[in-house]
Amino acid sequence: MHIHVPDGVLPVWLWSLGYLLLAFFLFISLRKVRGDEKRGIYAAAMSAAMLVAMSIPLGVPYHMNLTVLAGIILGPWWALISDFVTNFVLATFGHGGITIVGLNTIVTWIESLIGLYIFKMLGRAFKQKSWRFAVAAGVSTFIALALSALLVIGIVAASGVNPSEEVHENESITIFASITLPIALIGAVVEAIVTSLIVTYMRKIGTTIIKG
Amino acid sequence: MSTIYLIDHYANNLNSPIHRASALSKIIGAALAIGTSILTDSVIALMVDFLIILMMILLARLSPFRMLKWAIYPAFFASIFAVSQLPSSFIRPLATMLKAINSALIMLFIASTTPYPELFSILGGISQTIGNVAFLTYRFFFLFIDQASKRFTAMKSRGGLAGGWKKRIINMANFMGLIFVISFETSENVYSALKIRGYDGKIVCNRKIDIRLSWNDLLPFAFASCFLLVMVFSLLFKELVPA
Repeated sequence: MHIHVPDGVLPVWLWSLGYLLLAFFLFISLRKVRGDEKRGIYAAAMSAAMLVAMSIPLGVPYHMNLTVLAGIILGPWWALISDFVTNFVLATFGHGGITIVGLNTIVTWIESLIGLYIFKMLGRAFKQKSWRFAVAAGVSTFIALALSALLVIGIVAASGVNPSEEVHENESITIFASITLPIALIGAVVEAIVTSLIVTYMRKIGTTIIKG
Repeated sequence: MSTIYLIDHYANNLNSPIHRASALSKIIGAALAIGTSILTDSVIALMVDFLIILMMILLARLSPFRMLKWAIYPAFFASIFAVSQLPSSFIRPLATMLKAINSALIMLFIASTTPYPELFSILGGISQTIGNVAFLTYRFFFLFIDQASKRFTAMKSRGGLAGGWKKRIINMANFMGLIFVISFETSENVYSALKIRGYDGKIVCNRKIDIRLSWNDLLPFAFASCFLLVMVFSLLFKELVPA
């Protein structure tokens, strides 16, 4: 899940912090991926796939992300670069403000990281089972998306969603959370099933894109 | 046809004074419009910005209805945020929605009048690796859309969407899996082709942000001045343009 907030709503300190964190982690990732140009091509393919998924309207304020799949396929550092490029391109057609690209990249990257590590952990835990990839992909996607939904609510709460004095701030964040959470959780279930089926298909046909 | 597909078509094939203007002047205008959204909560100022952006869209020979239709998608997501602001007043949610539509419209305007490789050269300025990934993403996106549309038609014509819902879900998931595999196979082929040509992680892209200005830039600069005026006016005369 990422933050669909237009420019000018979140406070300057918050989105500047997003860009600062992004700059820091991008700096590290660019050093880590040096010399691994083949994954760079995969990162571009994954960004293109994410763009296709994120630009399909589903009729509710939710869309597929595929960020966990990006983490599983690309690993932590290329996933950050891929998430950044995807969020930048999305911002060029108004899908999330351009000032929010930093925060959005960090949130989607955290999704990729959580998904990747849970996928690895479950893959190891059920080493002997034939269904391990399907279950690991589904469970890791659900947990990563649910946690990132909470993170987004936390970020909006930190921003002071409604700085108006006449309303208690908690009231606004409660409304925001009560709309966002059910949609995000249903979306997480759908995306977990889709990711699980994609991973199963990829393993079935014997591709080596997903290792484990 | 997908949004990015049409945006790319508009940026490369339409001809207007704004299309001929440099990316720099348009980016300055967009930055000032976004600056107004950041610095003011005035509905009047945001409405004026909205009208200026619509004028720019018309002068660029773009369809304002199509642009608005596209801008509504991101605004739809921002509506959750706006609804959560409802307890205090109707003005603040309205300002939030206007900010969402203005930001989306101005970004759509930039992307529809400036070819993507030029926009990606900004990312290339941060790092060549990121610039390369962005450039290849742009290339792959159109390849994947093309592949997906062909395979989907083939699946449909062979009865892939007929039968019970269980069969349909499995067929759709297999279709998505297949598209993924094809995508990565395509990227591997591209990698092999690039490697033969001496690819070492760097793609030289000649499209750079053009900093040379011409007469065509007068129009974007005129609009940029309007955004600047709206911003300054809304900040200096807060009591005249209340939030």
